Amino acid sequence: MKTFKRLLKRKIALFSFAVIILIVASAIFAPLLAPYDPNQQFEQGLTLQGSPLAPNSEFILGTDLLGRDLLSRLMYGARTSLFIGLLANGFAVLLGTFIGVVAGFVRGRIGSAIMRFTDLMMAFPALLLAITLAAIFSPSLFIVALVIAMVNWVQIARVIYTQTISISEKEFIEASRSLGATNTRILRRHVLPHLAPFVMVWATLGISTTVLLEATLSFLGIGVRPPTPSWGNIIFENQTYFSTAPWLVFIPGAAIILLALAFNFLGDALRDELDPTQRGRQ
Amino acid sequence: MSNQPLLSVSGLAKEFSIKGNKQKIKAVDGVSFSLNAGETLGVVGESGSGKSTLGRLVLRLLEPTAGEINFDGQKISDLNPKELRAARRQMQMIFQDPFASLDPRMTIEALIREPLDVHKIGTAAERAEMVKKIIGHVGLTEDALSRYPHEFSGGQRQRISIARAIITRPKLIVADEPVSALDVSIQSQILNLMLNLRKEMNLTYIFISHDLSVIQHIADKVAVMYLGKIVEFAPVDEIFSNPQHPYTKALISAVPQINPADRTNRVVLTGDIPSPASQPSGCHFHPRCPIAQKQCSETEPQLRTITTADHLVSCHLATGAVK
Repeated sequence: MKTFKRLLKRKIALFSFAVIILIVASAIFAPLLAPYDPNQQFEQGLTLQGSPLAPNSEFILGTDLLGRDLLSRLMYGARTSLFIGLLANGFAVLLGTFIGVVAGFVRGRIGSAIMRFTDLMMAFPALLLAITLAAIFSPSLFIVALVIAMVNWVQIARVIYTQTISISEKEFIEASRSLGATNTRILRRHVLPHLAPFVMVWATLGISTTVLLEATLSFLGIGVRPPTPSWGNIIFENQTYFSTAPWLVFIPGAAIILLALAFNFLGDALRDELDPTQRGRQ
Repeated sequence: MSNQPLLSVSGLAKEFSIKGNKQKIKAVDGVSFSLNAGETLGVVGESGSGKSTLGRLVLRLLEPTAGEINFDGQKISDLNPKELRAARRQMQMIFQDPFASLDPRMTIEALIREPLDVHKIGTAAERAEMVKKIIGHVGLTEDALSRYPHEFSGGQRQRISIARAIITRPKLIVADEPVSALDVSIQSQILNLMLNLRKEMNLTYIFISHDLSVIQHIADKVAVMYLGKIVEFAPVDEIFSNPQHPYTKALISAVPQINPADRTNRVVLTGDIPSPASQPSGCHFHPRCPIAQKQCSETEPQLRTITTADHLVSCHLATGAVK
């Protein structure tokens, strides 16, 4: 709680936190806040030629190619994207960190075996893997999250593995061992706290990549099924109108970037706050 | 029991294998010595002589390839990991670099309390009390406790390391170059602190250093190491007044003397210490020895007593004569 209070003293962290709260709130309270049903196609939502409407007083952010209200779709889409971003990414981070730490701490043959498997996964085209997995399990939001996690843990495992090795070689680890500390204690009290910043960076970076990967999967028809909106599939549905109605791509794109940036800044600030040598410096 | 030495080591050896090379590096090669409670053993030698490895072997921070370690009635070399962890309460280590050996993310309080947490000594309140007591003992104030290592100078951090090492009231402390990273003015403060603590707590030190003047100040016995072996072992006065091994003589002649009258002829060694992977034949020191003879390159000398029973030297040519 103390760390959190100090964190919010940083302007950029406070701002990022506000953005995240705003997005989360609009996702949770979408039924109350959204001006329209996200799936309702309005007759007056399209021009006579059948192209989407630019932002106007009736549809604040305009309409999409089927005449649906973009703002409502964005708010409902935030539910999907946050779900994927947090669940899939959280799962990827947990799995990647666990595998990386185990391999890096145990070392030896077991560690090498785990890392060779990770390399194998890395060499495998991620999209192909995602398509295969998605084809095996019938697509649902949860499966999509799982598939994304299965693809994304690999890089995290690599980074965490290398970092775990580098931290394990530090003299204060040997010092702890010379005191008689058990491996569990060394891992918990000395290795994990030093890994935290790396995990944090990857966790925040991962949010944008997972949201985008979900968009790609949606585009390929193996992600979130239409008409359920997600930020990714809003972009892909509307990309044909890019030249005539650029806001349909830019606005959800901006939402993704805003979310990713907010998490990145918050993660950065949190990392600095957790490091006693950086604390209080801006 | 009381007549037994606190620590006795025999035939201790450590080989490191190099990747892609069948040959092994003998970092420590058949070292034996014993140490009584309250004594300080100074271990000197150049970089690469195996002195740090020796310190880590004694504490089994490195697994010995061969040899036996007996400490306080326990055969350290035979303990299983759990017993070894418990035994560590009695034998602690002070590291060379106080910047690297303290976890930068822990407060000083957490760092000093760590040994108590590890060995589950006392209740939380008792632990806090002990930490407060020990911090004054090593010459720091209580307001240091809530701070982090990077806020302290090298000397202060080494005091923190010492506090960590003594809080479990150990019998043996291995200090691996504890003052080499410090300014000379700070060195003497830390050395005096260690001397005071030795008296108060009846500590036994293994004090590893490349600095003979430091060794002269603190040690009771001195082991001179060269290429993983002890080449001379004697009480500190004996080593300095009557060095027998040419390597010891060279080291001592390199110590700066304030009084010009005390300056002796400098024995200058040429070349570097050979790689332990390709050890010279015969006496390992012969390629650099100023008085080497034919037999030195052929047969390896063994440690033998000379002049007094507690003066050991491994040199064919040592006669026991004073300079």
